[in-house]
Amino acid sequence: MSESTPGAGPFDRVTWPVRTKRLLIRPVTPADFGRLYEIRAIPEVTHWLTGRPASYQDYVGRYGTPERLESTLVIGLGGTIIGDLFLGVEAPYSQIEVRERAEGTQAAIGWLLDPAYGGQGYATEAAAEVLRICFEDLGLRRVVAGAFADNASSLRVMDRIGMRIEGRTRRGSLHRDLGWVDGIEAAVLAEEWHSKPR
Amino acid sequence: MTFDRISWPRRTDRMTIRPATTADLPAVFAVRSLPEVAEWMPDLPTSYDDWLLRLGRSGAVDRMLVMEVDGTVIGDLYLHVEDAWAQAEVMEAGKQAQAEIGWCLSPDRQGSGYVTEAMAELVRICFEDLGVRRLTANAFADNTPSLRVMERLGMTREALTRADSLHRDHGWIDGVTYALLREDWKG
Repeated sequence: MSESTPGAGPFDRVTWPVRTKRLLIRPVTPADFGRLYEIRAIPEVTHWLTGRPASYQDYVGRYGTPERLESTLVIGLGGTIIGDLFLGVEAPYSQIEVRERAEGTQAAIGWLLDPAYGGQGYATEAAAEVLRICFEDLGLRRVVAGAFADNASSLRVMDRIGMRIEGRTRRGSLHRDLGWVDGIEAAVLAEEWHSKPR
Repeated sequence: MTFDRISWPRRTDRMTIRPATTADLPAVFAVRSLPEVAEWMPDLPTSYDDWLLRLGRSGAVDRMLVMEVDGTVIGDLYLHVEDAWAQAEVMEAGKQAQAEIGWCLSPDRQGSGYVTEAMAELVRICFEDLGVRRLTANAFADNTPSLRVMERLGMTREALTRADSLHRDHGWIDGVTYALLREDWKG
């Protein structure tokens, strides 16, 4: 794990960009917003996502906040941005007396790919790298991800990168078109991740 | 505030249930500060003043009800009405749609079904009076008595989260989440 500067965000503890076989991953900058909005403006992309920005201004209002900038990465392929990733470091549940020990030990992750680049394993390649960043570069002990239960492609990525399904929340999530639907919670522990051959 | 929407107290066969007042807090503290009670609770309070401060700061005092038997407070209940997870465009419709519930009983009253009796009433309050559509309860997976209450209330286990909860003595251990939908409630 690289040395952390007091007050610095998790992304400051990683050397960027990070390269995989085919992709380049780095923190988002405002210069990426135009392209990222273009991807989120595709209705099928936001079908399962938290928000569907109504305009570019709306996109920047939601995703241009300091918290979002500190938890969003972009996926590059030969100079083109093909999607983005979420990596938010958080505190899992703990009893109050040991709260400090729990802080910053877990992350929630997510991913989003331009459908024009789908079907070639790019989302899996990028999400797997985010897991590696979480465990190797950030030294986290647990990573979680959530999805609507019917979001089959997202569940496939979770499975391929070694995440286990831990929970299914019955009709606990409200979808803009489908109403109350089931959600899936997946997780992987550092010890599980390290014990798998790669 | 949630509790203002209901008329109190509520009575069950053997108990009175009502929002906690300042006068109840010493009795609640007396229970909560017992190590065997605090084993599975969010905190092990040692100083009454610190505990009081924390209750006020976290807003927990506004989510606390007491169980009373013949004028004696025998434990407290937790009720937190909250927003459901919703996509941004339908967030309004998810507001205050679910609630998290919890409980804590004095050890000398255990084994008589008081918690189940009180919680059955709290579940009714949530579904009938507060219009909540889904209830959740969380616990450490090894907190067997609590899991039994959840099951008696008709709640279903939705998640077993591996080594996700940090316990002051046991380290990282498993957690569980149970839930109950209004449509599945047998009233």
